[in-house]
Amino acid sequence: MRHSNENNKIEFIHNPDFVEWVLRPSIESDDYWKTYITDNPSTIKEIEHARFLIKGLVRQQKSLTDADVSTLWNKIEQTESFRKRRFINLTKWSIAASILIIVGISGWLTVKNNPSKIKGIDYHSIAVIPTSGNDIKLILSDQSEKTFTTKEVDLKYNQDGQLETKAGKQVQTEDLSKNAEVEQMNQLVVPRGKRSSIELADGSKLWLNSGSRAIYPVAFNKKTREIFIEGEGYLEVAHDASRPFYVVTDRVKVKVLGTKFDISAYKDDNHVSVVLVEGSIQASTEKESVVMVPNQKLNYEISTQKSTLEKTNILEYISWKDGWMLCNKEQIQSITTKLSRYYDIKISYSDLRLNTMTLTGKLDLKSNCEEVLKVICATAPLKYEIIDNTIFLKMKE
Amino acid sequence: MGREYQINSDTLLWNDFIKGNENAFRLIYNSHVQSLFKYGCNFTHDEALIKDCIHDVFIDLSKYRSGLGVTNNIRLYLYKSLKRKIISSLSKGGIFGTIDPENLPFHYSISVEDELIDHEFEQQRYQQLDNAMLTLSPRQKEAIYLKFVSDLSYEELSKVMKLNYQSARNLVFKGLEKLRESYPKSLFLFFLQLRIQISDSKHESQKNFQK
Repeated sequence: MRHSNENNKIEFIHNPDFVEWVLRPSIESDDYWKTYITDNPSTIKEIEHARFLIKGLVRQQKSLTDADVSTLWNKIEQTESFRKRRFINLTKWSIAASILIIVGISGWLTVKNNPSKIKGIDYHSIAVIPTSGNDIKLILSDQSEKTFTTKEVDLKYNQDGQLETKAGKQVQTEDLSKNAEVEQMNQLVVPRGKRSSIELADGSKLWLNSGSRAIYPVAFNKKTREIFIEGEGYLEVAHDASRPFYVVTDRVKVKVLGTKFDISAYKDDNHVSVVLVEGSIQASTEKESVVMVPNQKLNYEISTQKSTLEKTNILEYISWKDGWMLCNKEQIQSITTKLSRYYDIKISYSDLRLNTMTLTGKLDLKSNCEEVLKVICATAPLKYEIIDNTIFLKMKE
Repeated sequence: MGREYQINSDTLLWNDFIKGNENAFRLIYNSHVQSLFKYGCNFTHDEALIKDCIHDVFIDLSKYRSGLGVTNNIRLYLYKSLKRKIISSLSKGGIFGTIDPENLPFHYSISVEDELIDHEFEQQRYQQLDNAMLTLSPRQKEAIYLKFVSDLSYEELSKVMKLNYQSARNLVFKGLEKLRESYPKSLFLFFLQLRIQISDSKHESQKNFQK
């Protein structure tokens, strides 16, 4: 008899669920153990014994008063500032030199066999651009080019044909010659590692992610508003019932009435996706046309020409425009592809185990690539190594 | 067969701190200072020494922040750091000579004085438990403290105590077994009252022991 009693006690005190119930009871655990006691009344002695033991172990320990806590903090701050004052030239918190190395951009475009069947404008002939340079380029309708060396450029077009460009601290305004006969097209080329935003003449705003380009008119004169995007862009389209807005990509054309959505159509991706944040759009591919509602994602597989529509957390797709990336069980492969584009750096790995890993959480993209890698390597059992301008990811053994 | 990893707030907070964010630094301090102090109190009764060690932990943290590795567990980092500082402090104090970390004292004692105890029975039982604690080795006591009071996982525990996972589990198990053996059972009357207690209330606390 005694033997079995002792066995029961061993179970309780060594049982993490039991300990959890004693220290941090919940409605569920309470129900469970109350039922257990009712069903096994002989165990009540053992249970009480174990409860008392556990509660005894966590009895009130000596703690600091609030005053103690602040006094100690003040002391820490004091020592810190005294130390800082003595070493006034050293910036202790400065981050190690950035390892961002711009990898040369290989050929932008190859002329496609199936040019987009777009009324009037052959975007592909416009989109062929010499591959020189790693800077953001704006090509005006007279073929003149403006190059920007900053990481981000913001453009703003207004109704009167004026363009304001903001690159870093530099702001420039100019008058683009107005010709009402022909819609003047501008092209913005955003290489890997850079980002841009364009406010179009009708007030619509377009954010372009790394490795993208947009071709759009200086002013929308006609009855429709149309732009071409290659890569990834997030759009907030100004409402104008009289002029529907069209976004043309290589394979998918989106018709918009006034809304916010993200479209991802990278040349080297095998899919195009459109994510609708607000409003309503109609997305058309070669095979079909789909009307979308907010929080939906349309995924178009180029090889199979199949479209799928699903509900989604839009933040996962548009957070890049605010400088962060939201991952939801996202595969490492996908994350490294995006980071590679965003920072324009090669990231590779050979260990296939990495393909089975997913990450969930938020990555701050405003810091440099190495910072982001550090977070990834602290989260998953990985380590990184930089060899010859490429980042190699390995399993941490 | 995929493994899913969560980027947790500790990682982000730590990262902010490393980049020089003073608010992050203060938040780390406020979140952990109490539990660090309580842990420290088990090694020595010298409160000033413990506070000094905590001060040094945070100063070092601030001083070496740019060179610090990324961590996804701030608490573990701080516990390890504090233990190191306390051992170092106690060694210098000359009281123990060179301290053998194996025998580093751990005064985990069960407080008997408490306004909440009005029942003489309880007082006696806590005293008995306190006596039972004396039969444990310092390492067993520390392991149990870290598990039950600091609520560390076995993985964290093994890192603070510099043991392998299985050794850490064994320490806790053996310690608990010793306590169970040397801690006698109480009178039946007490159990009766407790039975009523359990079936009545949802959230039992010592205060509610009925007379």
